[in-house]
Amino acid sequence: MNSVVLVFLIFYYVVVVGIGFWAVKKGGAKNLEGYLLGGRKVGPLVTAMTLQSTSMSGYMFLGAGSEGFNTGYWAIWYAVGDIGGGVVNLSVIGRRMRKLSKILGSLTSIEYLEHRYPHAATRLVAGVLTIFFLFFYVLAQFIAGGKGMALVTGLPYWVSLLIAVGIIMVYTYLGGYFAVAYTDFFQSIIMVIGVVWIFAAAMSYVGGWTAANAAIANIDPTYLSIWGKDLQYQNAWGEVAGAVLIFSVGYMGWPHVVTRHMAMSSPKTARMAGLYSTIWNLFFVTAPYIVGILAIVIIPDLADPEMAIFEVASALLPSAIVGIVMAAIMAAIMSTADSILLQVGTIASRDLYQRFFNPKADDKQMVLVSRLLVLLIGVIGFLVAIIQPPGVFAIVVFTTSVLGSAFLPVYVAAVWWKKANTPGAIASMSGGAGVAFFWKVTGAAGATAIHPMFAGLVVSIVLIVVVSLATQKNHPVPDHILAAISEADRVGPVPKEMLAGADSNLAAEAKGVARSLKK
Amino acid sequence: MKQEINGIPVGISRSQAASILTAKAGVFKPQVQRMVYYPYLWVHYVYTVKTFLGKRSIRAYILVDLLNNIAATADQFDYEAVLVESESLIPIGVEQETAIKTAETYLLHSAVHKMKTLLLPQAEVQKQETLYKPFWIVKCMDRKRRSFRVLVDGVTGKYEILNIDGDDA
Repeated sequence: MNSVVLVFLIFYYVVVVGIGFWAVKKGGAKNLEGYLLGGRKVGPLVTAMTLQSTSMSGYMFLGAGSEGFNTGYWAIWYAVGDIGGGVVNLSVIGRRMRKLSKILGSLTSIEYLEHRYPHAATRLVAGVLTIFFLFFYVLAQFIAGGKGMALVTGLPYWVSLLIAVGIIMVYTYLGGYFAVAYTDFFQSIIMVIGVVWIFAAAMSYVGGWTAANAAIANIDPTYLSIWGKDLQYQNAWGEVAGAVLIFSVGYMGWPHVVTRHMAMSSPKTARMAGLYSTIWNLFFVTAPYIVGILAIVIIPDLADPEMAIFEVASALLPSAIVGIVMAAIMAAIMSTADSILLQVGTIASRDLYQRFFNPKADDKQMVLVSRLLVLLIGVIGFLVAIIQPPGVFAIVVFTTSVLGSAFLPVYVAAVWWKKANTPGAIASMSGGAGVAFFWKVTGAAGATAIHPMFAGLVVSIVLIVVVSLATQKNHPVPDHILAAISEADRVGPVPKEMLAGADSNLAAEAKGVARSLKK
Repeated sequence: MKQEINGIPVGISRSQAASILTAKAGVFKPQVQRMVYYPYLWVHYVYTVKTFLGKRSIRAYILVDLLNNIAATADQFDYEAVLVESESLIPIGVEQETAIKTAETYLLHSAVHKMKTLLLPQAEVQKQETLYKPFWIVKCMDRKRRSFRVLVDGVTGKYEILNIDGDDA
C-alpha cells in the first residue's frame, strides 16, 4: 500500500464532502433547481462539461486503456465514433424528440416509447431490456472501482470490491445529502486535470508521438495498424462498422442519454453544448485509448491490461498526484454508477411496478421498490464481480451493442417515420436486442467478422420497417400521435432562424392553444 | 363578458412581442393578433430532507399544464387578480384532482433525479392556485401571403410555432 497515495485519496474525499456541506449550508440548495448548480442559469460550457464528465465512467479509465494496450491503434475506431457521437445524436433526434416528448407529456424515456408506440407491451419490453442490460453496465463500474481500490489500498480484490460497491451504494442512497451537482462539478474539474496529467506524463516519458510509434514498432509493428494486433481485423469492415457505431449511435439506446435529449430546454444551449462536447471529446475520449497504447512501451509486461492507466499513473506521477488521479477515477466511476442506478430504480418503480403491478402505488412504495432493486443489483453485482469478473471493456461494448441495437431504430423512427407502429417497434426492440445478444454469446461475431452491434442494428432496422408496413392495416398509428409528430416536424415556410430560436418547452402549450383556436 | 382570474403579470408588451420575432422572421412580417390566458395549476411544496447538518427545507414549485396534464418545475410566480375577457381564456381540460396527482408524481421524479437520491422527501403543500399565464398570438405573413402563427410567452418572451389548419406552417 502506498500511504502517500492513500492520504491524498482521503484528503480528496474530505474536500468533496466539505464542498457538499458548504453547498448545503450556504443555502445554494434551498430549492430543487438549486441542486442543479444554478438550475437553468447554467451556460452551455458548464452544461457540456458536467454532462461529458458524468459520461466518463470507469470504462474510460479501464476499458479504453485496456483496448489500447491490447490492440494498439485499432482501439481508435471506438474513439472515432465517440468523438462526434453527441452531435450526431443531437442532430438526428434532438430537436424533434425534445418537442414530441413535451407534446406527449413523457417523463421518462421508456414512458416516451409507450406514448409513441401505444401498448403496454412496449413499456414492458423496453423496461425489462433496459434494466437487464444496464445491470451489466453497473457491474463494469463495480469491477472498475474494486480494481482501482485494490491498487491504491493494497487490499485483496474481494475486500476492495466490497468497499467500492459499498461506497457506490451509499453514494446512490444518500446522494442528495451532499448537493451532488456541486460535488459533481468539482469532480469533473479534477477528472480533467487527472486525464491531462496522465496523458502529458506518458507522452513526455516516451519522448513524443514519433518516438512512441518507433518504440511500439520495435515491440510489434502490427500495433500501429488500424487492423489491430496481428492484423486480426484486417478488412473486417463489419467489425469496423460496429466499432464506430457503438459509441456514435449506440448511446441513443441508453435511457439516461435519451432523457438528456428530452430535458434540454434551450435549443441554443443544446447546439452550443454539442459544439463544446465535440471539442471536449476530441481530447478526452481519445486520451485514455492513447495512454493505453503508450503503456505498451511504458509497461510492456503489464499483467492486467485493464490496469494500464492506473499503472502508468503509478509509474510516472508523484504519489500525491497519483492519489488525486485515483480519486478522480473513483469519482468518474461513482458519478456514473449512481446515475445509472437511479435510472434503473425509476424504470423499475415507475415503468414496471406502478404500470403493471400496482397502479395505485404511492410515493413511499415507489421509492421502496427503487431501493430494493438497487440493493439487489448491488448484491448480485458484487457476487458476479467476485466469482467471475468479466473485462470492463467487454461488458461496456456488449451492453452498448445490445441497447443500441434494441432502441436506436425505434427512437429514430419515432420522430422521422409516421408509419412506424407498435408491432414494428416491439419486433425491432426484441429482435435487435436478441440478435446482438446471441451474436456475442454464441461467438458468431468471431466466425462472421461482423460486430454484434452491426448485426443487431441491421436486424432491428429491417424488423421495424417490414413489420410496421405488414401490420399497418390492423395496427395503424393513432391519429393523435400522427398529429403530434406533424406538430414536431412541421416546418412549412417558417424561417430557419425563427425555428432555431423556438423553445420546445412551450410545445405542449402551443398544441393546447392551437387545439383551442381550432374549435 | 369579463371574468376575474389569478393571472401572472404581463411582462412582454404587444410591441415587444412583435419585435422579438421581427429579427428572426426574415421576409415575414409579424403582426400581433391577440392575447390568450393559459391555465396552470401552480403548487408550492416545501419538503424536508435530513442532511448531516440537520434538517433542511427545500422549496419546489411545480406547474401543471391544465390542458395537457403535463408538469414541470417552475419559478416562484407573482400573480394578481385581473379582469379579462372570457374569450381570451383557454378552457381548462384537466380535473383538479388529476392535476394534483401529476404534480406529486413529478415532484418525486424531480427530487430523485435532481437531488440524485433514493430518499423519500417529506413534502407538504404550502399553497396551490389555478393561475393563468398570458401568451401573445402573433401572425407572420410574407408578400406572397404565406403565413404561420407563433405563440409568444407574455412573461418571458420565449416563443413556439403554432400549428393551425389554414396556416401554411
